[in-house]
Amino acid sequence: MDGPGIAGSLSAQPLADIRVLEMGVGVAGPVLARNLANFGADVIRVESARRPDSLRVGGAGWIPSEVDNAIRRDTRPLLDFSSAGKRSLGLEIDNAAGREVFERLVAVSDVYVTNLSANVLPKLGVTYEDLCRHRPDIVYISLTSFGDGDGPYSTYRSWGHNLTATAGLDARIGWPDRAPVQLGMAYPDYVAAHSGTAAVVAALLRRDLTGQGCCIGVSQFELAAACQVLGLAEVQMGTTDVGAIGNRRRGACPHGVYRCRGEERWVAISVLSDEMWHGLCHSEGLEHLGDDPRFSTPALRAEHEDELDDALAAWTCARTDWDVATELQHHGVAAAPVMDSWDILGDVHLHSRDAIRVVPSPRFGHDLFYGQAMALQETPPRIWRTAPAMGEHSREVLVDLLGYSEEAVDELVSVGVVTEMVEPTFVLERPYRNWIDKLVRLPWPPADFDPYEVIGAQLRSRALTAREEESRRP
Amino acid sequence: MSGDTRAPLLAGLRVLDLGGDALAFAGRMLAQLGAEVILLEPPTGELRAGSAVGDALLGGTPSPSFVAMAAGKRSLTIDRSTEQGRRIVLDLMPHVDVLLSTDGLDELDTAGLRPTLLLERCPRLVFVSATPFGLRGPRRHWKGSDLVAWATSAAMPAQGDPDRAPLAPAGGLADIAASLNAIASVTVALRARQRSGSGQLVDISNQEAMMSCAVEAGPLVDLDHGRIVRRTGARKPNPPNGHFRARDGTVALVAFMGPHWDALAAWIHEETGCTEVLDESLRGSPLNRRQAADQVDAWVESLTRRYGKQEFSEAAQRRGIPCTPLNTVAELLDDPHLAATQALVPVAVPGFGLVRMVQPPFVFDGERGVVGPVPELGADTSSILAEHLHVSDEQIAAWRTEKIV
Repeated sequence: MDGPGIAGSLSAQPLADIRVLEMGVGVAGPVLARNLANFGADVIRVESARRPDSLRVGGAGWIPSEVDNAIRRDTRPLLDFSSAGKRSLGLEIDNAAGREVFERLVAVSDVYVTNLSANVLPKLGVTYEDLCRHRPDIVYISLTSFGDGDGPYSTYRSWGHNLTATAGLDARIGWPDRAPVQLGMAYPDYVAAHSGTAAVVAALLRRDLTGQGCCIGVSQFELAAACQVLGLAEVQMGTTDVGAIGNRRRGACPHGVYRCRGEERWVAISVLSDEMWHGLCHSEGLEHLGDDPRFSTPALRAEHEDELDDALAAWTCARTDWDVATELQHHGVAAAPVMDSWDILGDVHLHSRDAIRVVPSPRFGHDLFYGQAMALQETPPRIWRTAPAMGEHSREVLVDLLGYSEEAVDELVSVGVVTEMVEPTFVLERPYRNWIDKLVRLPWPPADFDPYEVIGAQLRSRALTAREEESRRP
Repeated sequence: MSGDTRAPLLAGLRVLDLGGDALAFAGRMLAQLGAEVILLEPPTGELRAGSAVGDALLGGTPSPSFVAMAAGKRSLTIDRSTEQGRRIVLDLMPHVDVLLSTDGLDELDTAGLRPTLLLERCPRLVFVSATPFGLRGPRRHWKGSDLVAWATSAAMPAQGDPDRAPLAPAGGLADIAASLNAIASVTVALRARQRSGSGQLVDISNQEAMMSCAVEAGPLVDLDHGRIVRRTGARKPNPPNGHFRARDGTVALVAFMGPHWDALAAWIHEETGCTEVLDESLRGSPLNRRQAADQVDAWVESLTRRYGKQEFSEAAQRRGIPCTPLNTVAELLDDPHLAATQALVPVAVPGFGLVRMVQPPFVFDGERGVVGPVPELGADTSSILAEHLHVSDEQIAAWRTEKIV
């Protein structure tokens, strides 16, 4: 849990005075904005019900497709990662009334984050120039796949897995005797989110001094290519094998992933120095390696890498992954089990660092959150709730922030310009709730727990008002 | 930081980079945002040699890994194994805004850089640590590597071929994940400092940093599926989605969505005359194609093999199908899009010549930063010591004789 004083510590958060508008889809834009929310910014997602975020499409894997989409759209687990701690405003901005709401919102916002396609931004009227008319000192960031104009790919449609291939990242994962495989995740999206966070906050630091906003453009393709920095230097400086080389790494031997006892259990071992090699040879059951003349120098070990791998694999396969890793670490060798999701959820180390949390959720009472690695010690990330439900905060944003009357909001809702959370008292339960309880070993409040208990009196009273209103509806 | 509206965002910020792999890219990115980044090196230049056996072949030239990570930094050489060397580093600390360290607690103690003590002496310092598992927790003393960070991120069971061991990519992407979390943390910590006057410790765990870049291959997704998603090679089980052979290489085709499949199926039919590909039962959700995945992929490859990879990608895009060419690292240097956006810029490397690097990926108000040159060993030692510590030339000369600087 997030600890006490959640409401009280708000103003001490580094970005507590910052309001962010986010129009994002998938990972890159939303996770950037989530990072800002985790350090105190008031992040409002402006979400269209007609053109929803891809993570609002479908829903959790276990929810039958017969369930109303207005409920399903709040249930994708990845949403909790991408949008924890934000507010959601359901708004269509392609009409006069919606546009007015949007412009009034821009006027009271400091940052605008988007990763919509470059060609969509002018059509929606959300370019930097458009927004500057309403907020001249706005810090604006646009993350696009291939930049915003030049180049043959600039109009290309793409997913994260297109970028990993084209930026040369896929070419570096695979076995030397086979074609490369696909990287398991849309890495360019995540690095765009984290480096974009730095760019936005750096721009805020300059705005604090100069009063000037700025426009930041990021081509995710170029960023992913920039992450290929090592390979690019290698290939130009004469290194061979700048391709897929299994789990081996030049200059480090042995280096790989070895089978352990049990089904699908593996251990990763990196011997990065002579010191680590000697540590390996002092590990119980590996003493013979130190006496083997084939392995006596780094060059010889590289020459006999296959034999060395076989010798290590013979040792690891009779042991558990954790036994191997613990024994090697005891001797100063970099090693760890190849952890799967269940290992992660039960990992005592991660729990001791608060890296996995159970936080209040609008649709599930409570839900799982992890994936925030910015571990500032004095102003730690505040993860006070998971992702908002679609349109959950539409009314409070319009009434409290923009000064609309309740009646005016009702009107906007009735004509479909504004979307509100459907059935806010309808709380679901994830099917894995019961056994995750044991696996995660985190205090997970009973199902009848009021999620608003922990978010402070102010929000609670607001929620009660909303519920009373709900109960008054015919 | 500078009040000049045209100045780079982090102009005036001083960063001391202790030279660890996991934060090397952080130093580079901060330099590209305008900070002065000082790379602390041993006078023997061993950081430059690289650990790789093959690097010895390059003679006096710095290793590729050093070149990749040192561009744009200043070089300060101090022998930290000597008492005097350690003292110089400590004396420098009050003049530094940000410290980048990948040392464990024991090494920090030896160097006199234990975070709590250092922050008492230099309360405005932002102390960024990135270690395999962080400075807190039961595994805080464990050693790590880029591979170990991947292994502990939950991403690997889903990466690789099904009949072989799980895979991590080469190229240091876990280190880059740590570095990018670090630079985001630096900016947030600077804004906290602006409000409170105090710096702080940032305790990055490389495991958590990799997890923060791999969420679609971890617990949230596996819990939702009710099982661990296992590796399926170069293609995902929602066809067609993955790598397909073209005449001269490979394309990445991600056409699992209904409309994209329709467009692709029509194209396959047009070119090959195959009619089964249009079967109604295959349309719509990718689940409808899962049973026939091998057949679907074979049809797709019968089309992609007729084209070059650039040519196929262009033609697919004209039909609205997300498809791009797969580049090897060498091919990336000749990529037509990078050429058109002039994204690759030459960077001077001492003892070697020019190496092309990707220019800073941020455009601020239409302007890009620059990638600075790779510094000569110790090139900035005298100026940094004179400027920040007001050390006399005679003193520097004496230290140089003693091989401390």
